[in-house]
Amino acid sequence: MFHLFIIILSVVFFSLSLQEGRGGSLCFMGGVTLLLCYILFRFITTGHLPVTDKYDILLMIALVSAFLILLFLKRDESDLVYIRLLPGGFAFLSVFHERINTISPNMNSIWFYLHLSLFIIAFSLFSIGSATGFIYLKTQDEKIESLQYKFILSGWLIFSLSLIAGSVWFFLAHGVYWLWTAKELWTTIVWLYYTFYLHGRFINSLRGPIASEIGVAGIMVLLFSYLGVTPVLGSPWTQF
Amino acid sequence: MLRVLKSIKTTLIIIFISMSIFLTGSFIIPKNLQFFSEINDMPLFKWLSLNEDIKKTFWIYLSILAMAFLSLNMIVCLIDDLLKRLSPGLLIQRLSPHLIHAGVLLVLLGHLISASTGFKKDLSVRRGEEVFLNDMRIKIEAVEFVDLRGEDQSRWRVHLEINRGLQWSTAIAEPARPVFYKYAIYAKSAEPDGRVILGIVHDPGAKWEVAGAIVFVLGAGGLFWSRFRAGNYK
Repeated sequence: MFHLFIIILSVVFFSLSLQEGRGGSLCFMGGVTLLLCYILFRFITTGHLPVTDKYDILLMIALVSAFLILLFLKRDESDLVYIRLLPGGFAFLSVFHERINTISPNMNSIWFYLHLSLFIIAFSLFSIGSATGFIYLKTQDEKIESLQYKFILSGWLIFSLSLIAGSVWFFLAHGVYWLWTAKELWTTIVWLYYTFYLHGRFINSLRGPIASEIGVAGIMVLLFSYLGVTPVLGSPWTQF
Repeated sequence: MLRVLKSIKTTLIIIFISMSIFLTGSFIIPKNLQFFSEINDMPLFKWLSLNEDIKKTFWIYLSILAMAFLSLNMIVCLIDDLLKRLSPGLLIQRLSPHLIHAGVLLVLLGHLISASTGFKKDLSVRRGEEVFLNDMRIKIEAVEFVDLRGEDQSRWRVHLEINRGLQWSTAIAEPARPVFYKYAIYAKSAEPDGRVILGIVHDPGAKWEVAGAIVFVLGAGGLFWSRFRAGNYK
């Protein structure tokens, strides 16, 4: 109950951050502080970096998204303010997942933590990229389109590094760096999808709204890959 | 033909086709888990030669074909762009995307080598017992439990003696920390009574994967530097 209360409270803070002026910023900072404290609490109680199950990973994505928003999107007055809802959305998604406080010995590797930490950053960047793209489609502001590209390019590079770290970890843990499973195929689909977006932007006929739409829709591919493959396709369950 | 191969539109078409193929595969695997149960236990081409049900494996052949076309496309684009645009002034900016492409090519080459060569084997061995593996002898000297919490949380160390020729040497294998001694030797599981499952892996493609990863990381670093530090992200 305590866990649920903290998360719902942070979601409320992020929702209230849409209001104009100082009040909105304070609510956003309130949500960030609450999440940060809760993640530190999880770190202390589990005894490991809380990136080993979907519950904690979604909360980390919420926190990292919030930090990225604080760092790169300072324009309170513009439509970009709606992006402040993202961290709340991820925090809310976490309540549908089980808290797992233990890790198997095979996960106890620096490469595993590196893989998931980079994945969390990439996921956050892709999400903000999608959200900024959505706002570009409404405003047609070229600067926002450039922002979307920057976020997605950074996300793609970090996602690639995450895949490299994941391959090294899996080779050290299980002797293979690639598996033929639906989960891995969907991870490749995500990578190819954003590769398509980045290359598509070089073509004049796709550059602008069409490329932006492709970038916006990326969040659906990403979310399905992370949360939908196991329940929808019946792929074996994974803890993280 | 060359014009088609060096076109970015070709890249987009191949990527789109590849995504469709993997999408198809992601539906086929969960519906045929029994059929695909051993695909990750041996090199891909060996598995394909043993499992000839084309209705279930056609998408793997198509994905190999798509990756081959994508590789060709990347090689042609890489050479074409290097010949046309290389100038010493903006070397990092120009080279970084090519390093990324070269990294991906090396990773794909690694996959190809892994799919066609190497082996994986699980051996059940007891403490004090010796196993022979081609020109190598492996002996379990001791099994040590670092953290015995039961279920899947226990952590263990397997003390090994390995012999190749005249010399014996010692090594310790732990979960996620294999011993690299010609082959990669994994301590997959251990029981308090001294029974151990050793995983033996020989994967010649892994070196190419690592080389590809390093080249990719160099390219990614250069791209970050040139696109963001220099403020040139278009």
